[in-house]
This record gives sequence, structure tokens and C-alpha cells, in this order.
Amino acid sequence: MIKHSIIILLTVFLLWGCSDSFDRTNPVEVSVTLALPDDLPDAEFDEGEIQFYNISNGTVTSFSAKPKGVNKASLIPGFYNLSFTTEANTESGRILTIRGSKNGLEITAPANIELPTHATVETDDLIISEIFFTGTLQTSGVQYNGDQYIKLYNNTDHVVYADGLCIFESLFLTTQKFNYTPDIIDEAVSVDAVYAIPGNGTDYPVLPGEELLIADIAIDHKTINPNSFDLSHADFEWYDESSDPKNTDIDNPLVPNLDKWYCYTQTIWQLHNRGFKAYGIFRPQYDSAEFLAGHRYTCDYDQVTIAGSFPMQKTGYWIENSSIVDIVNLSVESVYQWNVCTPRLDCGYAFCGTIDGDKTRYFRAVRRKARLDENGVRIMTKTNDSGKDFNSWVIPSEIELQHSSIDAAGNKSTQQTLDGVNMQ
Amino acid sequence: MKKLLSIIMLCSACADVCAENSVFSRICSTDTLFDTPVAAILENPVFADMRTAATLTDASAGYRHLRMSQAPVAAEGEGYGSAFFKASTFIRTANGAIGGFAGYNNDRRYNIQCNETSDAALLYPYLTADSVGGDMRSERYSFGAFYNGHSRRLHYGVSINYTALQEYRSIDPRPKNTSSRPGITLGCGYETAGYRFAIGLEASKYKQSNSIKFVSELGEAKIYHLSGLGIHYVRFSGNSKQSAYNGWSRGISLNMAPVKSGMAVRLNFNRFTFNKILSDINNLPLARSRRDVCGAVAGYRSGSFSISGLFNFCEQLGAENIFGSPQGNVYPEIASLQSFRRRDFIYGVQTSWRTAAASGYWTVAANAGCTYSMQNYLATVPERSMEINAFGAGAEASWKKAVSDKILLQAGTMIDFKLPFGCGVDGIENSSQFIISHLFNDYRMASSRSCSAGVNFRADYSIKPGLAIGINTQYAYNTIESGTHGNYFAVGAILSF
Repeated sequence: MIKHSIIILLTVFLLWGCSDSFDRTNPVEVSVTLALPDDLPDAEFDEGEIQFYNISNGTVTSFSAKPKGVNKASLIPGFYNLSFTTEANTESGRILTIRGSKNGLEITAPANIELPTHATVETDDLIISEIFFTGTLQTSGVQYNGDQYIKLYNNTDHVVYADGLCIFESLFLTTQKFNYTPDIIDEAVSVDAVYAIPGNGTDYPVLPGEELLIADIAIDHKTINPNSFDLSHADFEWYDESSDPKNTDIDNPLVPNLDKWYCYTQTIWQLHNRGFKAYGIFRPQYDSAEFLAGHRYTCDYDQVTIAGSFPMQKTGYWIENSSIVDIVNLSVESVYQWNVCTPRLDCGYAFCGTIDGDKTRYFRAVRRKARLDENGVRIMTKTNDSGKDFNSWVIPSEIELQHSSIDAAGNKSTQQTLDGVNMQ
Repeated sequence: MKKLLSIIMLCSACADVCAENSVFSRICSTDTLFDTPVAAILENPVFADMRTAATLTDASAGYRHLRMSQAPVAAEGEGYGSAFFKASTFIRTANGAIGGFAGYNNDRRYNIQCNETSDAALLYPYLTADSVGGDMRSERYSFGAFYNGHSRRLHYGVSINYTALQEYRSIDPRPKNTSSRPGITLGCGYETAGYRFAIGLEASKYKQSNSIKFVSELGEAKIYHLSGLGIHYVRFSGNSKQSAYNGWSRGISLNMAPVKSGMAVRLNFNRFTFNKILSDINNLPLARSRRDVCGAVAGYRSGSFSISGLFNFCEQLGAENIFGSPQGNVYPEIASLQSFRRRDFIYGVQTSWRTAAASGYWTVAANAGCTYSMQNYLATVPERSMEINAFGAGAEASWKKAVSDKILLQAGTMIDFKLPFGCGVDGIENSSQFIISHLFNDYRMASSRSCSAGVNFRADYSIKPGLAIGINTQYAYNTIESGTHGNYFAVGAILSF
């Protein structure tokens, strides 16, 4: 009897042991209430579109949404990014783009979501038009980083003075997210490098439709790397006194240096050449001493691994969101985790390559989308969504202008475009 | 080499056992074509002694080649070239039967696309893919043995088997897949009134590890983790190059077979479950699948006639794990969704007939049946679905004759065709995106009429009583209405004793 029982039990175990439930997945109802901007009480809002982007499988569920009231949707449980876009007509007749977004929503049960919205910040200052962070390759295939640069563009209809404008690099990576405490993302951006354009306020005027070229090393890089290009005509360069004699910067005395406010490294600062950080510009209402004294940011977080959780600390500085003129999140699709700033400033990301360490990223940049107006002046797109505002993974403008190499084999660029895609 | 020597020694040891019988008569009595209708019923090792009447050992080596002009299933490629060695023995004992097999294959599969995983049919839809693909080289080892005996009316049997595979490519992308599958089947039965009633239990473990490397300076292809009907894990696409599959199968069967002639029945249930894990993201459990197969075969078997009807229902469910905001490289699981479902119904009838005449041994077999297959991807709105239905039929004939004491000739011919009906794809828009384009190409192939026809010829020469050497050749032509066609040929040398 015992033997028979054991055999029966063994059989049952063999057949059903470790079986998992495979219950049918039912959609869940999600209610989205839009919180319209407080500063536009008299504006008329058009019917907009709500999009749920399923982060797991890349599918998009979209439906039209009423600006006022509750919008209901039926969603497959999952991990989503939510976005809303519409237009508002103000009393003065201006048409504003209204946007709202929330990333990383875990929707596994019916949920009520309140989505704050805001009018797209209309900047009256310079904007970032291009970031060349990937570097080039030498003919031997070895990477060369000294030719990185950032371009700023005057997208307004009046002269803008660049004096005092600061460029910064985010403290956090867009490819690595922890629960940072304190979480200041709604008020500020945490940074690990800040360099300011010198000047007394009117030293560096930028005319409408003109650009500033800010280089890492403003020299003719072709003398070192025949596949590179000439940056000796740059308007500025960032220069670092390195504490490591093996790793020093080059200073071109003919090109003014940026004022270094802070940088995390004791050697030389280079843009993240896989594009894992955000870069931006801000106009501070304070000087460097005040910044260093009052903007220190230290956050705690737990480094979670399968071996356990380890308390960690990170230190940098913060810049209040209200001072930020422009910010561009960079990332790579295969390892992207989050945007390191509030979606009000930037709700997308630009990229070069689609996987971490993509070797096809070299000789490529992110360039802001542009068109020509009736006077032949470039008008650039700025909706605070780097994913849509930028042409990603395109040939840098300096390579196009100088017809220099577009790959390690030395093939030359023959195209001339407005923004890496649109032909002039 | 050691394995090869072991196989040869096993074969030599068996030669003496068979010497007393004519090897030609034993070859002729091993008629796999005739046994086809009831082969499934006799899978239980309790029935091993009924599979064939004579003791026979053979060892063969050769080369098989199939090349289609276009892959019928992208994930399985356009065909293969396979150098093989295999040996099997079946020895009747006073108490029942004992036997075993061993095999080695050195294969090259041609132009596999949208898949870098081995055993793609088993692990579908949770395959790893990239946009490049290409030929794959592989080495496969397989071993097995069975024992069957009885004590008065109580019969028992056990069979074990093991298959190991290593598959790789030596240019970018360079997958290296290692899989293993050990299995065991236990059976016991009771013989009464000219019938043997039996129960069988089977279990097997499956493991596969995948690793894809790139060494080119020119860049890497993006890696995709597919989850069915054109969907992939966007979140983990790109750099997750190491994955693993961990599964096991268990099953039960109830069987009845006639000792000589009469009705034969088999009812079986089998469940195969597996998980897919991303090894390089802290062993992230990405997906899991369960495939249940219920089958029933009922037939009649006599010395010269055999017929069976079969019904099979297979349901595969797949669930994807959904992960929330990561903490570093650790992704918390927030939900598990049943996202994939596949249901296959198969029913059909098979029959075979044989006769011995002055002109030789003749065997004729025919089959006809229908398959209904419906795949759904449930975690999108609207749901995605693909339906493939087909009527299929085939016929095969073989002839064997010992034209002298020294020479045995065998020849055969076969024809198969498939007529799809009621096929369709819903909820998926055709696009140039490579996963979707391969999906539609596979659909186009599966929903097209196809036909294959072939011939085979074998000649054996008896070196001495009880020992023969032979050559075997096969040729088949396959055509699919969508414009795809291909040739299959095989040549081999066989040692039988």
C-alpha cells in the first residue's frame, strides 16, 4: 500500500510539479486626468492625444483625450511611459504646445493617474544645436576623443549674448537608475561639470541664425588623426589643468577657454563618448563662488545587486530648473533607463548607436532638426523632447563642412545638410 | 574517438549473437514503414520486444544534404549538410529485448535568419535573434539504451537517452549554444487475453546556454529576444548576449497492443515547460512556457496489415515577466502576463500493408490528415493572430528482394503533399522591420501548397553469413507553391549483422 502511494505521489509530482499558472491576461482600466497648466487660465485647449508606450515590447496604445475631465483607457498590464500632447490658444493669439509625460508607470491593476501638463518652455536664449560626443577613429581603428564639440545656436530673432552662459554635464547616467535621496529632479538637475562662457555681458554677441562652436581641444586634429577635422576655428574650448602628467589637455592660446566652475575629474573632462549623460546650458544668476558654496548636492542610494543591497553616496552640484535654458538627454536604446531631468525640460533622448559600445557610433553626432525660413535662416525645432527635436546618429556638421572622414577607412563626407538629414 | 571505439566493440560483440540467422532475413523483417501506423503505440519500452521480430545490429555512416532556394522557416534555415555516424542494435533475449543506439552528427545548417538559438522548434517563440544570421555549424551526440523483460504476465521496460548539441558560428555574430537533454522512460504492463496493457512514465530535462560574441571592429548587430508573432522584448534588446533555457518534460501514456494481431490503443499526455533567462542581467527570468500535448491513437495490427487513426491536441502557453523600474542592474518583477498561446489540432489516419511474393517483399503505406494551428499574441491591443490550416496526404512504397545469397536490393518511393486552407494573419501590419518581414515570409511559406517526392535505393552484400555491408542512397525533390524548391540527397554505407 505504501509502495503504491509513493508511486502515485511520484507520478503526480512528475506531471504537475513546478507547474506555473498561466492565467489569461485581462486588460485593466486606467483613468487619466490631465492637470492643465495654472499659468494659462484663459487658454483654449484642443483635444489632444494620450500615448501609452509599453516599455517591455515597444507597442504604443494611443487615443484622443479631452483636456478636461477623465480619460479612460483599457491597457494590458505592463510597464509604461505615458505622454500627452495638445495645443492651446492663448488670449493673445499665440499657439502653445502643451505637453505632459510620466515615465516608468507600473500598471498592473486599475489605476487613476493625474498627469501634470505644461506649456513647452519657449526659450529666448541660445539652444544646443549639435553635440558631437562619439569622437572619431584613427586609421588603426583606435578611438580618438579630442575632437568632441558642442554647438550653440541663436534660434531667436534678436542678438543674444553668450557671456555667462554655462554648459553642464549631468551627474547621473541615463543608463543607470537608483532611488536617489534626496530626490530633487522636480526642482533641479544634478551635475558633475560646469563650464561658463567668459565675458562681461556683451563681449560675445551671437546674431540670429548664428552658431557658437565650443570644442574640447581647439586645434587642427588632422595633424594627429588624419580621419579627424579642424577645430582651430572654434569660438571656445574647455581646458583642464590635469593632475596626471600622462593625461594632459592641450590649450590653444588663440581660442578663449571656458571658465571652469567645477568638474568631477582631476584630469581632463571629455563628453561621455557612448552618450550616457545629459548635456545642457543654463544662465546662472550667481557667480561660481556662490554656486560652489550653495549648490552642493550629496545623495544616498542603495546599490542593489543580486548579492544584496549596499549603501552608496554620490556627490555633485545642482542647478535649479528655472535657470536651465536647454538640456539634451543622451542614451542608447539597449541600456536606456531614465531621463535625468524633469520631463518638463526634456522628455526624450537622442542617441548615436542602438547598443552599448556600438562601434558604428563614431563619426556621428546628434543634430537639432532644422528648416529654412523664407529668408534662408535656419529655424530649429525645440519642443523639449530630444527624441523628436534631434536627428540622432547623423554625420556631424563639421565633418560635412570640411568633407573629412566619415569612417576609419577614411571615406570622405560628400553631403551638406541643414541638420544631418535635410538637404540644404 | 573513445566513443567510436566503444560503438564498434558493441557492434562486434553483437555480431556473434546474430550469426546463426541470415542477415538478409533479419533486415527484411525490420520493416519500419509497415510499423509506422502503430509506431507511437509501441514507444513504451514495455512493447520493445514487439517492435521487430529479429535481432539486428547496424552501423552506418554517410552524408545528408538538403538545400531549399528559400527557407521554409527562417529560424531553421534553408537546409543542412550533415555528416553522420550512427549505430543501433536490437537484441532479442529469452526474456524480452535489449538494445541501444549511438549517433554523431556534424552538421552545417544554411542561412538561418532571425534566430541564434538551437532547437528553435522546441523553444519557440522565445528565441534569441539578430539581424544578420547566417550558417551554423553543429556537433550532436546522442546515446540511448532500452531493456525490456517480463516475469510471467508482468512486463516491464526502461529506456534512457541522452542528446548533447553544440552549435556555433565562426564569423560575426558568433553564437555558441550548448544544449543537453537526458531522458528516461519507465513502463510496466500486464499481458492477458492476447493483449498487453501498459502504463508508461517519461521524464526528460532540457538545458541550453547561449552566448553571442562579436569580434569585428566594424560594430555589432543588435540582439533581439523574441516573444512571438513579431513582438520582441524591446527593453532588453541590444546588448543582452547571454541567455539560458531551462526546461523539463514529463508525460504519461496508457497503452494496449496485441501480442499477435488485434486492436492497439495509446492515450498519452505530455507536458514540457521551460524558462528563458537572461544570464548577463543577473539571471533575469524573462519568459516561461508550457506546452501540453494530449494524444490518442487507435488502430489495428496484424502480420500484413496495419491501420490507425490519431488525434493530437497541443496547447502552448507563454508568459512574459514584466519588470518595473530597475535599481542598477536589478529589475524587480511586477507582473507576469500570459502573452502567447498556440493551439494545434492534428487528426489523421495511417495505414500500411505488406506482402511477401516471389517478386520480393512489398510494403505500401498511406496517410492523410488535417492540421489546425492557431497562434495568438495576447498582450497587444488588438491581439495578434496567425492561423495555418492544412490538409496533407502521402503515400510510400518499398520493395525488398534478395536477388542471390549474397545480394539484397531495396528500393522505395514516396510522395507527400500539403494543401493549406483558411489561413490568415490578424493584427499585424507587414513592414520592412526584419522580424516582421521574416514572420510574413514564414507565413507565406506555411500557407502555400507544397509537395515532395522521392526515391531511395539500397544494396547490401553479404560478406559472410550474418554480416552484410551495403550502400544507401536517397533523393527527394521538394517544392513550395510560393516559388521555393530544393533537393535532398543522402548517401551512406551500412554494416549490418
